[in-house]
Order: sequence, then C-alpha cells, then structure tokens
Amino acid sequence: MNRALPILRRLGTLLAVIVLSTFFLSCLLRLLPTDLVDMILTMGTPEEKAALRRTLYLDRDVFTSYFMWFKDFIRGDMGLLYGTGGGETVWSHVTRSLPISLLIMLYTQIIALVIAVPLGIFTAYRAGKKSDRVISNTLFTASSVPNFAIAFLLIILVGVKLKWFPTLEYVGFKDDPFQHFKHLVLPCVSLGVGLAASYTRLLRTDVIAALKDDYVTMAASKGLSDSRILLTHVFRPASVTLLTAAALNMGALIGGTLVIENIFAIPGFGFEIAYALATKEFVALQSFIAITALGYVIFNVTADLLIGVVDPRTRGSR
Amino acid sequence: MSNNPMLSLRNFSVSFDTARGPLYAVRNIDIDVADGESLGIVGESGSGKTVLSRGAMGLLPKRAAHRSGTVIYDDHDLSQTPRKELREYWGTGMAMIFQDPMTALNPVRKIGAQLTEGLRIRLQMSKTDANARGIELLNRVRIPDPAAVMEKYPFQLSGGMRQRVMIAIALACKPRLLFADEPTTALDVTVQAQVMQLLSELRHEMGMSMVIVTHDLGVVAGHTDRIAVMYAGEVVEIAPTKQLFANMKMPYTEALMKSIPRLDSPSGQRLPVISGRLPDPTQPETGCSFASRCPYVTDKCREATPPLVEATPGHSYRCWFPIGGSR
Ligand SMILES: Nc1ncnc2c1ncn2[C@@H]1O[C@H](COP(=O)(O)OP(=O)(O)OP(=O)(O)O)[C@@H](O)[C@H]1O
Ligand code: SF4
Ligand SMILES: [Mg+2]
Repeated sequence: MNRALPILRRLGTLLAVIVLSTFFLSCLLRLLPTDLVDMILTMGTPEEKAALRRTLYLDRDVFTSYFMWFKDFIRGDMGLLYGTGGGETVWSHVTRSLPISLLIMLYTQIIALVIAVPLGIFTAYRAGKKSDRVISNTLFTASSVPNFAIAFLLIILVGVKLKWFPTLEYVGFKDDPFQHFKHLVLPCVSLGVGLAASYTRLLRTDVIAALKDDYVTMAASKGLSDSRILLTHVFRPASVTLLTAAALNMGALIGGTLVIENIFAIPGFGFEIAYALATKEFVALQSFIAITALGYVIFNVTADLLIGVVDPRTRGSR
Repeated sequence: MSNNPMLSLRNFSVSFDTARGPLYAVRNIDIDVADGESLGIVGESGSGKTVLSRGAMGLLPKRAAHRSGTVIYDDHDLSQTPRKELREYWGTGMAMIFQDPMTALNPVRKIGAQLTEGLRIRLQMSKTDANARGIELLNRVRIPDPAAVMEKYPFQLSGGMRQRVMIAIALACKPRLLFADEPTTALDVTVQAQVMQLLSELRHEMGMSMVIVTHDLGVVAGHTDRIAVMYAGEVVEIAPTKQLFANMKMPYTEALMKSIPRLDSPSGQRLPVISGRLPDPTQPETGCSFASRCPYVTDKCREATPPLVEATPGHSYRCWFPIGGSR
C-alpha cells in the first residue's frame, strides 16, 4: 500500500483550509466600514494614499490581490505595523512573540501529562474506591472551570496572597532560566489543569480496560512483576490514546494560550493579536490569523501522523 | 521426586460477586494431575473450565473472585501463597495458553518482545540469548521465517500463527505444567489437528504435564490420558480417556459424545446440539444439575443431588441412573 498518498491528501486539505480562511479575511478587509487606507493614513496626501493602496494590492481585484498577498505571506513578507510609524515589520513581531507562545503550550502539555499520568494510573487501580472518587470528582469539577477563572484564582491566591510566583510579565530563558520558569508557572498551570483533568479521565478509562484485558493476565502468567506489567503492558497501550489526545489538544490549546497571555501580560502571540485588534492593525492581523490557522492545521496533521507512529495497528491503514 | 501428584485440587470452588448475588462458577472440584500426565477438561461454554484453570493457577482477580479449598502444586499449598510468591511458579512451574490468542497478545508490542520478556526476566537471559532462544521457540512451533515474525505485531499474523506464538510464549520458560485453555477453538479444523499434534509432541519432548481445556471431546480424544467432564461448575464424570469413550456413565457425557463433529459426516449436516441451557449459576438448586436437560430424568434426580461415585478404579461419575447400569 502506498503510504505517501494519505499524507499528500492531508497536506492538500491543509492548504485548502489555510487558503479559504485567509481569503475570507482578505475579503473582510475590503468590507470594513472605513476604507483601510484612509484608516492607516488619516492625514496622508492623495499620492501617499495611492502608493499605499498599491502596496496593499487594494487597487487590484479581490482574487489578484489575495494571490499577491499570499505570495508575500509565504515569503515572510507580511507588511508593516503602521501604528508604529511604519518602522516595524509584522515578521519581526511574529519571530519575537511566536516562540514564547509555543513554549507556553509545550510547558502546559508537560505539566498536564505529569499530573495526569500518575493520577490516571492510580485512580484506575483504585477504581470505585474512595480515593478514586475524590480525585475523579475533584478533577471533573476543575475541568469545568474555564482557564481564565483558574488563572484569576491562582493570581489572587498563589500570586498576590502567598507571593510564591510572579503574576505579570515574561523573562526569557537565556536571560534567567530560573525566573523564566518562575514566571511561567502560573500561566501554564492555569492552562494545564483542564487538560490534566481530561487526560486523567482518558488514562483511567484506558487502564481500567487494559487491566481487564487478557493480555495483562497473560503477562502476569509469565511471572512478571506488577510494576513491569503496569509499565510495559498497561501503560504502553494506554499511552497511545493519551498521546493522541495530547497531540489533538495542541490545536485547542492555541485559543487558551492567547487568552492567558493577555491575563499575565506575556508578550506572546496572543498578546500581539490583542494589541493588533486594539490598535486596528488590520494588515498585521490578517497575517496573525493566517499563522494561527496554519498552526492549528499543522498541529492536527502532526497529531495524525504521530498516532500512526505510536500505534502500530493504524500503520498502513491510513 | 515424591509420588504425590504434580497438581492436586481439593474441594476447590470459585464464586464471583455479581449484581445478582454470588455466582458459583466452580464447585467442589477434586482433581489430580500426575507428573507427565495429560488431562482433558471438557464441557460446554460457561461450564467453568476457564475459571477452574485460572483459579488453579491463581490468576483470577483477587477482588472479584472468591476461592476456597486447596490447590497443592509440587507439595506447596498455593491457596495460602501470597501473589508475590505465586509469581515464582508462573511461567516456570505453571504456564497457560489463553483461550483467545487475539486478546491475550498485547496489540501494541512486538511478538519478539512478548516472547522474550519471560526469558529475560525469569531466566535472566541476555538480550541476544533471549532473542536466539525466541527464534528457536518460534521455529519449534513451526512458524516460517521466525526472525521476521519476531519483529511483527500480533495483528499482522493469522489466527493459526498467533496461536503458535501463544504456545511458544507459554513454553518459553519450560514450565512443568501447562494449562491449555481451548488451544484450538479459534482455528479451522485442519489447523486444529496440527496444533494439537504439536502440543502433544512438545509435551513428550519436554516431559511436562498438561491440562487441555476444550468444549470438544473430539479434540482431546487422542491427546489425553484422562478426561474430566464438567457441567455447571462441577466435575460430573472423570475417567481414563479410553474408558470414558468405551464405557461412559453420565448422560451428559453421552450428549457431548454425540456432538463431536465427525469427518465422515456429510458436509453441512448440523451436529446434534444438546437442547436447553446450563442452569443459572447464581441460583444453586437441589438435585442433579443436568436434570432440566437429561433425557433420562426422574423425580429422584430433581430431589436429591447425585454424589460422585466410582464405577471402576479411576472412573467416577455423578448420576443416579448411569448408562449401562440398572435404570
Ligand atoms: N470475572 C467474572 N465475573 C463474574 N462471572 C464470571 C467471571 N468469569 C467467569 N464468570 C462466570 O463463570 C461461569 C464460568 O465461566 P468460564 O469462563 O469458566 O466458562 P468456560 O467453560 O470457560 O466457557 P467458554 O467455553 O465459553 O470459555 C460463567 O457463568 C461466567 O459467566
Ligand atoms: S441424575 Fe438423573 S438427571 Fe442427572 S444425569 Fe443422571 S439420569 Fe440424568
Ligand atoms: Mg473458557
């Protein structure tokens, strides 16, 4: 069976999603109540306005202008942030803020998994007992609280009252690794609690199912120790679902990260988007949203490919 | 070595807690398996064969299954042994071929890993030695291209191949007693015969004892020294294989005998199945458990439970009106 074909088909879908979403945006830009050029150059001369109109391809028809924009976008030429006096490129803002957001997402996943793996296994072994019920119910409650509410709660309790962790701003890893992590604890925990709850539930279900499976009894009948059975026979198959969920959640995590960055004043991608919205930087916004869509699709495709790697059963059948 | 049997069950019972109350899956079983002997356990689906063999090994989940009676293996009372110590017997002393090779093999681990882990952990073999031994084992159970199969996942193998892999895994650490739970049920008829033949060969070669569990008397006919017939959790007849076939006493055994598929029967002809169903294992009843389906039933059968009586030495049965006896 040709294994490249499904991947190609997926990449085709990916391209279609990006093109459609950004094309939709570029149409919206033309439908703004005030003309985009007038908005940017409130005081500009007709010549200056005409020049900008040409740069933004607004003098062409919808399709040509979109095509030109897309070509520039692919090349990393995303135009300028006009509110800064035209001095800063959108690209420079992207390269500065995007890594911060990606780091937050990565840390969040790690925190969620570190919480979920032991809890999932523990509650599965105790299924139905009191400790399982307490943990499962607590997590279920926690997962129904929105991220930002958890964030505010943590800020007030852990940040302001106890003063354990800073609640504002960001420190780069290279500048001060300790402060870097210290500043990201609260944002990542706020994002991770909900994820941890859903991962725990998934893992619990899977481990309970695995424990009932004959292959676990079979492993026991070989005379293996309980910890070895847990690791190689129970957790390994269950981890397939967990990894799948983690990969699929990357996309969903984008939205949460954008919100959390604004709460904790972290200059990540979400901060940039909010800033662009507030200052009506629509040119930058178009690229930001295109990048977000791109990220969403890339995460989902990667998740699919990853599942194929970790779960041998799905290999070749996709 | 002592003259005592290798495995000896006395008054062995297993019950489960269910929503409808306790379920008596296996009741008051007395069975011995001698050193080097091959014992067949035959009974229809639900008669308690799997529970009996897993219970004897100690593999049932502790929380749900209640065992009583004794299990003596090699002069050790396993019913009193904590699970941690039981592990010392598993794989090397006793091993099991599970009923369904699809669910008993871990779907996401390679055959090689599942085959060699016992060797490496129980016999402390090095990775290379264990691998070499694994390939040897696969070769022994007649799997073509064993080195390639080591790298495969269970779903990439046919049912027959999976069953052979199961056998190889069970035999890896040279157990002295092998439980084979329906080793051929998942296979088609020609492969069934091959697998049974292979098991018999391996038993003689390794000098091990074997308990073959099946619902098909025909499967064990040529491969066992003795056969125990199970019905509703009880042994209802036990005899040397030849004696059982020549001189069965219990009507249920007779019914099982009639349902053996015959090679000379016209294809497509349905086998006579035993009509009716097993009694509800949560509702213990008085009288003979086979009474509701027995063609020879009388009032006495319904009122009093027939005891296990000896017809000839080594041949016991549970019936008020045995076949060939006075009716
Ligand atoms: N874990 C369990 N919990 C509750 N009841 C059980 C459990 N395992 C088995 N039983 C019950 O015990 C009885 C005997 O089951 P067992 O699996 O031993 O039958 P079997 O003879 O092996 O049948 P088959 O040929 O279908 O494998 C059945 O009534 C079954 O429903
Ligand atoms: S005791 Fe009666 S009912 Fe039971 S098997 Fe014998 S004849 Fe049939
Ligand atoms: Mg069974």
